[in-house]
Amino acid sequence: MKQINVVVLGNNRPDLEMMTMYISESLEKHEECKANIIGFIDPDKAYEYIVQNGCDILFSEAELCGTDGLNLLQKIRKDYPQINIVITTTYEEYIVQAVQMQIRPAGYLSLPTTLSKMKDLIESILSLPQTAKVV
Amino acid sequence: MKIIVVDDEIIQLDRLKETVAEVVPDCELNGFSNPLEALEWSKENLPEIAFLDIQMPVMDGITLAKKLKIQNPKINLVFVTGYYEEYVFDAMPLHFSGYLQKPANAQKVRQELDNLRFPLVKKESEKKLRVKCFGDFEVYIGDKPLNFSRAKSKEVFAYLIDRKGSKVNGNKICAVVYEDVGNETSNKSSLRSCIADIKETLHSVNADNVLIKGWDSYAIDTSLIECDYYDWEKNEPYAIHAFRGEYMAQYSWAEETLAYILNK
Repeated sequence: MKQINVVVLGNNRPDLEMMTMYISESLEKHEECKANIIGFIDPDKAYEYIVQNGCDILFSEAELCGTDGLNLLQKIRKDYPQINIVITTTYEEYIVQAVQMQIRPAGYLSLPTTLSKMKDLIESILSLPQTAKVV
Repeated sequence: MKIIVVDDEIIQLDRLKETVAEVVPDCELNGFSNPLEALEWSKENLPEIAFLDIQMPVMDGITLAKKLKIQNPKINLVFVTGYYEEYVFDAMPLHFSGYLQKPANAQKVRQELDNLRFPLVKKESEKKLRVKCFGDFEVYIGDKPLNFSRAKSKEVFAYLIDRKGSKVNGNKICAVVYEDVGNETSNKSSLRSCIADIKETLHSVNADNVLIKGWDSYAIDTSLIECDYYDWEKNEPYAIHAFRGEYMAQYSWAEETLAYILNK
């Protein structure tokens, strides 16, 4: 059984709980995966968790209280090139900015999102081949 | 490494080809001004990387990318467009590796090739054994894990790998691998059995020379193996990408090296 670490980084607990619930429901049908989903409001603690435990999918708001979300994501992308980063935001301009900053998001969710959109996104990420190609 | 460049404008196509060739002069590079020809060629040749213009007649870059992904799900797609914001949202579901504004200079192309979504690893060289240290420790011959008959033998081998070719005496190996379990005599006896098992296992795959044995000293000939940790030290991009925060996860003594990697 494959363990998937999912980290959710947001600005308030109600949003984190909703995202966590949607992610959990989206992963339910994947019996081959055991999902460990953890939410953070503190970006430093989220980063520390990723360093200690690894992360397969990171959901992060583009705007985070007290710090520049996209700069943090840029750092995470540089340190962990294989993490699937999903940007959650109400402003689509941040998505374009994220691409310009080479954050290379695996996807994005416009807020407020729906369970259906979350399911489609999770399916799309889980369908990605994960291993490095031999040349 | 097979790379294709697709742009309906010949001048742009030639410019980008030149740039890619400057960055990776030894790649197999093919340029196409017709997306359909690119698709046909790719069907037989399965390029690993595709630099794609988006706005093209006949077939746009997004559609071409979708078809290329069906041929090869691990293809690295790098869109190169003059209409940067217009196509970002259409391109994103394809999980592109890169998205560049024209003109793409050598620095940008190099950045993309150093940070591929699906990193490329080198083919198996003449070295027989492939050692994986990141995550759980594992030794492979071809694609198959090498089976040591004792778990402790594998752990001893892992410790020698961790020492990176330095000679280690039996006392040191026992102190690390056996910790405080058992007495000195029984641990040394167990170590001798492990070394015998390692020798036999390596012999079974014609890799006898990997283990260098002296009088009460043991070492690995690092030139005879491929190892992600050794390649990480050489800043090989694939190895840097392979590290996910774990090093020889089964062995508690490996935490010292893990701390070194994390701090570097």
